[in-house]
Amino acid sequence: MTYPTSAHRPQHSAVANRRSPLSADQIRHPRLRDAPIGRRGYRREDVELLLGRIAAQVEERDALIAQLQAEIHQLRNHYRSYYSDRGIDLAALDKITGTRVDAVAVLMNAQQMADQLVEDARAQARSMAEIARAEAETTISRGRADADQAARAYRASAGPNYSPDREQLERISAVAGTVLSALNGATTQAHGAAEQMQALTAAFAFELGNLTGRPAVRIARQVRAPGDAS
Amino acid sequence: MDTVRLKASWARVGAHGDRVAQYFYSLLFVARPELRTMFPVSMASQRDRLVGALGRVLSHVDDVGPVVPFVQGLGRDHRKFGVQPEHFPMVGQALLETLAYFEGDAWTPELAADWTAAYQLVAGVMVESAAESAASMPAWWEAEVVSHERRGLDVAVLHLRPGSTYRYRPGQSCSVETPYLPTLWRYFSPANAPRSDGLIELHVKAVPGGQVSPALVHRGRPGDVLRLGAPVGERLTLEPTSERELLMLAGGTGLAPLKALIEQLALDGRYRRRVTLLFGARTGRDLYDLPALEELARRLPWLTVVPVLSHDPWHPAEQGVVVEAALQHDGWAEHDVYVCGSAPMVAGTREQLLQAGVPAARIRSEDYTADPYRPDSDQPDESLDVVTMAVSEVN
Repeated sequence: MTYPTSAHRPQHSAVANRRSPLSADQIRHPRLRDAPIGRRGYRREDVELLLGRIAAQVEERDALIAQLQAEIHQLRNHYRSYYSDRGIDLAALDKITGTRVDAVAVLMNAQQMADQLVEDARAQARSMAEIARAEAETTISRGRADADQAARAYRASAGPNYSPDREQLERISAVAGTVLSALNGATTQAHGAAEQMQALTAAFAFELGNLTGRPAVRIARQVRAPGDAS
Repeated sequence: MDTVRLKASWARVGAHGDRVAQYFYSLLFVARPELRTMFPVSMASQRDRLVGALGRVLSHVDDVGPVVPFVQGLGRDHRKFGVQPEHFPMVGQALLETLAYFEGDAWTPELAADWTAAYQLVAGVMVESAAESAASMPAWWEAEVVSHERRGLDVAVLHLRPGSTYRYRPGQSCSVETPYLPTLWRYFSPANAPRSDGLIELHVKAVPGGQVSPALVHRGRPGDVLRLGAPVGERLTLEPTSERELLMLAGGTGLAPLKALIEQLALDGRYRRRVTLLFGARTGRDLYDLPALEELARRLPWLTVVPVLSHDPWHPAEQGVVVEAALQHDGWAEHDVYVCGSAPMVAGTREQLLQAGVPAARIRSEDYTADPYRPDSDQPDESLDVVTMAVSEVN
């Protein structure tokens, strides 16, 4: 199949046909009709000189455009292979003008990890706070139940020696014993707080001993000290 | 602007889920790293808000009238985040590029023009309402913590002294930012009527797994300077014309706004309506403000305070949850009923009151699913913070 060349096209005046751009050659050899007889035209040599200069400039410019297009093509190929080697969607990249797609991807990953870490830490904190509260409430409930039981036992055994004060002491002693053993359990688990809790346990046992008239040693012994194997 | 085309575009982009907002913020921060410090470390709840707000605006894009107040509110609210008019083009650019990225081949110059027009509309309303608000009030107020008192396991009562006059009505809430966790704002209700010395009392419960509230309870101390946003909320304020008696149901630190209402009523010397306040808590030591309430009840003959405990069978107080304790008595249908507590407490209370015949119009409570307290739908931990508003921290 052959394409029509300018030679096969209908012969129009190249000047009259404004649609197709003039080539340098067309400028150099324009098909110009002669001026009617009796009219004056430009001097032929001058016109040819001018056309020659225009043609040279157009040629120069065409060459520059071709060179730039080749450079753009080369750069585009380089750019395509650079990103496709790294698995990055070029269609997307073409739209994100001025911003680097790989930087966005890295930041997205980092933010996702940060969000996950924050969420995990909060879940952990929530569960610790809830466990601590639940354990404290359970301990106090158990202490109160133990107090009721101790009071019943005292009333059953006291006979004529019953004294309300003594019953109250039995109650306090029972509550305190329960709380102390819970504290002690927590002490053995929480290494950081161990010494502080142990001191608190000892002080509490001493005070309780004063309250109940029972030797502090005996009460403290109900509470196994951390590291005490017996 | 072709609204059908715009909505179809949003539907396509929205199908990419969380990735859209992730991409948008990453793009924004790569292009404008200086904006990153305006946001919290975890962006999880931020993303939901962006997508939620966009979706809301777009669902009204045919007739923007109803959504204008929402957008104006966004504009005013964003002042406290330090948003300036020059930030809007940066955000718009990142938004357009995000949409283009997810639309792929469906992205056309016409669609770009639609989105640009829609964004400029929203941004214009936001900038304008922010400027209007700036003419009458600051973006935030600084307030110094002048006292910080731990009450029980996880509650603190704080007194704040605002640096300049902070006007609010009892029953309203204010957003609070702490120096410990910049950029994170949570809502708390003042627990007092405005006072001549300007002090504001806050009741803060450390929500397990929360962020701002545990920091305020465990790390807060006198001398800390907090920031307060403009007061918001109308649902828990007093109806000035009502002659009805009042029933107040408080769960935990949800007591705060109700105590402020009682103080407001006490300041009005003509006041003769009866107020019954039921103060619900888990155990006796969670009745963190009982002495102050008992003092009020001694002083105010029209006030009755009833503590109700849900997890303390040995305690002499009423047992159970507040609404059940209230419904052991009749005659609440003619009362104004104020409810404040955790979101589940408020929802459950409202439901039981309705079943017992209290008209819905008489029940006043904060709606945590509405602005400005919208929760973070898929963030259970974060939404716990929401609970606290009533319980006094809200998100």
